[in-house]
Order: sequence, then structure tokens, then C-alpha cells
Amino acid sequence: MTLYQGVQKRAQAEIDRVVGGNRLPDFSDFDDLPYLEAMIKELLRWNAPTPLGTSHAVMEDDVYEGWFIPAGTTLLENIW
Amino acid sequence: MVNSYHNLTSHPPSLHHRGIFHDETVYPDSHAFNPGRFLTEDGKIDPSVPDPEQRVFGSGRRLVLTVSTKSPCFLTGITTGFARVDSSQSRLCLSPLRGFLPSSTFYLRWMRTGGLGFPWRSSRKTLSGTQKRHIPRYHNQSILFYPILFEQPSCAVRLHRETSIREVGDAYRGGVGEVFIR
Repeated sequence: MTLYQGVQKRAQAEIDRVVGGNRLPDFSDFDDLPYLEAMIKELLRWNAPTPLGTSHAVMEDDVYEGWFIPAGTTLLENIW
Repeated sequence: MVNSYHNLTSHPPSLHHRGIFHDETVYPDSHAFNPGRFLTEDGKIDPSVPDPEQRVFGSGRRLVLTVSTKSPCFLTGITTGFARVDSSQSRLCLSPLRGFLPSSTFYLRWMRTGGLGFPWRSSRKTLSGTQKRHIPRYHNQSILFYPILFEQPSCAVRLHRETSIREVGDAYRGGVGEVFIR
């Protein structure tokens, strides 16, 4: 948000418009905050906290798109 | 065997030449921070753009259940923070504290010390062993949270790729024996 202050100002303006500035936002407001939701999504996408996701293990032999993956292989999901 | 190469068990295969969130075919100009990519022209959430929530909290049977973009953690945290942050657009800021609040540089350095001690000294060196273990390892990211992972080998929730975290959580907390979400 330090780098993208225009985004922050726009999200703040949206909150101020919906909430009115006299109270804090609550759950009933979230459906009216699409830009904020998009901003959160972008935050997660742009720099994911865990670039390799959570590792998984294959429990049985598998073939995925022509790749044979033997059982027990650790799979790292590159969500970067 | 992968393309006539042997793939040893327990070796993590590197299948991806490009990431998911920086796939230019899905997210054009992926290195730009542009929340508008998730919005339609009239400012609504565009459901055709893949939701990073589906990936960033894990996929398959190991998920961060308690954290999602629809969870109190994210929404109240971020919206409340934005509503209170010191800015000319916000009237909720505690005005007596204006000018007395530490600068953003202070916070950044403070976070680097693990939120303990004084940022102008290298407090990490002065901590005892027990305290050191409790210093959370923050990434240099915009969002900090403690993921709570769960692993249930016997969990009978079979996931489809598009299953949302909330659906899984509901099914799991509902104690249903066999749940197949499609």
C-alpha cells in the first residue's frame, strides 16, 4: 500500500462512501465493497505469502498430462 | 518416467516453468498491482477471473481453513485498518494521536525485529532463547497471518478444483462422513 497509494486511496474512498466515516465497517458492508475485495485478491495474487503453496504427497501412482508421478512423490505447487 | 527421464521417488519434480499467479495468459501484466483486473467494467467482482483465494491457502486436502478473503481476519482487519489509517479521507482516525504515531519506517523496522524491542537496536540479539523461538518469521509481504494448517488423511471431503475454501470448511465442520463436492 505504500507503493500503490492510489489503490489505497480508492479503497479508502470506497469504505468511506459505504460506511460513512462515523462507524467501523462490519460484515453487512462487505458485499458493498467490491474494490476492496478485488484489492485483497490482488494482494494475494501479486505477492503470495507462500510462493510454493503447501506441499503435497501423492498417495498412489498417477499420470497427469502425460507425466508419470510415482506414489510418495512430494509435489510443490508453484503458485507464484 | 517423465519424458524418458526417471523421476525418483521423494524427489520433488519441478513441473512448472511459470507460476500460477504470474501466468500472463490468466493475469495479463501480472507484475503490476492492479485490483481492477478482478473487477468488471461496472465495478463488480468479475467471476471469470480466477480467484487467487483458491490457490494461495493451499489446495487439495490441506488447506488453511480459518483464513480466507471472506473471513473476519481479512475483511475486518483490512477494512478497519483502512478506515482508521491516518489520511485526509478518513474521519475515524484518533485525532489526538495524529502526529504522535510512529512513522511507517518505525513500523517496518519494528516488524523486522519480530515486533519485540526497539527497532533502533538490534534487539534480536539480546533476546533469550525462549523468546527467540517465539519470534514469528514474517515474510516481507503486505499481509501477515498465522496459517492454521490441518491435515486429515481420513477426511472424506473430495475436492474439485473449483471448490471454495468456505465450502470445504462447512463440510468439514459439519461432521459429514462422506462429502463429495463437485
